[in-house]
Amino acid sequence: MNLTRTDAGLTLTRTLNAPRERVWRAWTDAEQMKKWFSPPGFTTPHADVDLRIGGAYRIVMRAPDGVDNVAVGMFRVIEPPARLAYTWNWEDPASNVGDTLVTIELRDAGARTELVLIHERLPGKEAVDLHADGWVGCISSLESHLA
Amino acid sequence: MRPTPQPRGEAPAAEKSTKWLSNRLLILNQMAKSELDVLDACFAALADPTRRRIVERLERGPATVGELAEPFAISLPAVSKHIRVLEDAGMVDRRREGRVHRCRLRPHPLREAAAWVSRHKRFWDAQLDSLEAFLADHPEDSE
Repeated sequence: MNLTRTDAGLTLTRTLNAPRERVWRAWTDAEQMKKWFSPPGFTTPHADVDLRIGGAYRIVMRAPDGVDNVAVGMFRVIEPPARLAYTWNWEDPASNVGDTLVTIELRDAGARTELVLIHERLPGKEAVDLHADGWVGCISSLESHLA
Repeated sequence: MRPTPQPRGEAPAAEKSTKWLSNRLLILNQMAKSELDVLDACFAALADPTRRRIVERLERGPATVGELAEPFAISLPAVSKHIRVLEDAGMVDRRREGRVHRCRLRPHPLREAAAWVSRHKRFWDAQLDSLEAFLADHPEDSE
């Protein structure tokens, strides 16, 4: 039962052979995401991306046998080319995993990029109380609507 | 909105990395809200380094509160508070045995958390493999 990086959920690091501006664009442009966002063997027939704080995304990942898995969420942090964070859940209520947070950090390594992916669970009742500055922005604009 | 299966065409040969992914990504057997709460409580409990060390110690066997507090510079009541968080997360059992309180690890939440990490790690690894291949084939943005 040896858990690695359980302080945040899980963390992966990968060195990519591209500068971070290139990686950033691959990760945020819907047309490019359709070419790689699903794991190998899957296709991504649809990718809707509203790249702004509080903007939504919807990505359809189609398995080799044709079954669709649709990931949905909202952007919380957008700091090109260094940091991107978005909530992550499945659209199908039967697959609901609660709101989780995916953070991508891109570190400059010259012609290469060190990518750190962090996937954390968000405790349900404290979903509003967490890291991203963007979320604070969302809440305060909500408050002004209610005022 | 349930996913609707598309008509079967010629499927590409399944790569080794996708054998486990099959038709449902991250199959979770429809985790109930209460099970997700357990997962959340477990991760929140493990977010603290003192509590992680307490869990590591209990993985080696039961211990009294005093034994658990030994390695730390913080006070016994402070350690007891950490143990309380772990108890509330269902991860630790604390029982009075004579004059001492003995703590035991309850394995279920940690197993669920470890399974969550392992499943998602495989998924993200596969996705990053895909990104690497894409960047190799498309060094510039345009097709």
